[in-house]
Amino acid sequence: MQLTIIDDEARVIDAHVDGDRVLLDPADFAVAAGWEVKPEGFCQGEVCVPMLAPTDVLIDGRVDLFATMSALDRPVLAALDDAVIALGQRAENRDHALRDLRAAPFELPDLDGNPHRFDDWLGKRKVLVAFSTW
Amino acid sequence: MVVAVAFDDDAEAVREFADGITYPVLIDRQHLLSELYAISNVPTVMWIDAEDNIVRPNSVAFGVDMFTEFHGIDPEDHKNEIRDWVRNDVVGIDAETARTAVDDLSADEIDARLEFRIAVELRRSGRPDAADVHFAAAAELAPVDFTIRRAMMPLQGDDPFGEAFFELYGEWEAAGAPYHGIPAKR
Repeated sequence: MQLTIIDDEARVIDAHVDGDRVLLDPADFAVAAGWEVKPEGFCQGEVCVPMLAPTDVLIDGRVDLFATMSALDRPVLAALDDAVIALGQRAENRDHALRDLRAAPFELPDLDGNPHRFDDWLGKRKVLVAFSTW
Repeated sequence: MVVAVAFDDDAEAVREFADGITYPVLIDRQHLLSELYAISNVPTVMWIDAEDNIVRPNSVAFGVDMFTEFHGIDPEDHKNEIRDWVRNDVVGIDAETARTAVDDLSADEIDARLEFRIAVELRRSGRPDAADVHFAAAAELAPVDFTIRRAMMPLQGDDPFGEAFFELYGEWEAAGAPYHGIPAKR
């Protein structure tokens, strides 16, 4: 079935739903969740998280989404009746910000849709203001 | 530099506020930052130094005075504090206090953010009835979180400055005015 997976943005991908499991081809998983499946583990750029028990997260070459998110310490909420799944952030990233006082990098678009990356502002003091029109 | 991030869905609505502003004004439709930094209301401000250390974590601070009458917070205080940081390296809070200033999100508050994201996506893809179910679930999980409860008002046709807001404000006060960060000086 087609599923919308919401990470930093929402993407529609083909998924195989097998009982409680949602299985994705590794290429689709990389698109939806931003992690590539490599021999050394799940990788995001240079950073890799080893697969401690590959048999738990890979089923017939497909990625078990919930098991993988759990292994990566990322919360996940599935609304399968609506064919939508939301992925949360690694708790570790928030912990770094709150307890180690290290800024958690992010990428967001401006009002014209141009992407801006936190790393673009390295070396500058920043006053980060979260606001809203509501 | 200032980086402003709007927890909003409609870039055009934000544009009115951004008129004439030269620093980056970004839009965060998924409320990614409310999860990454445990932000539960706006405006929330944090100061980050040149080495990406958070020297002053989540704080209530206003950059404009349009709501001063309501909340009693003078925006000049925050502007003066920023000047003092930039000129004299004064942050006004020690690292130990900063490290304990922001409570982590609870499991329910995290799930509320994910429910909210699902609702926003369902609404954007033309399924408002399904969206309402998930907005309601988010509200139940985080009943006095403004980035959930108040943010959903305009998305469900409610006035975020009307009766629904004042009801929420009353519920929030009755719950002890919880805030993930350093509350406002009044």
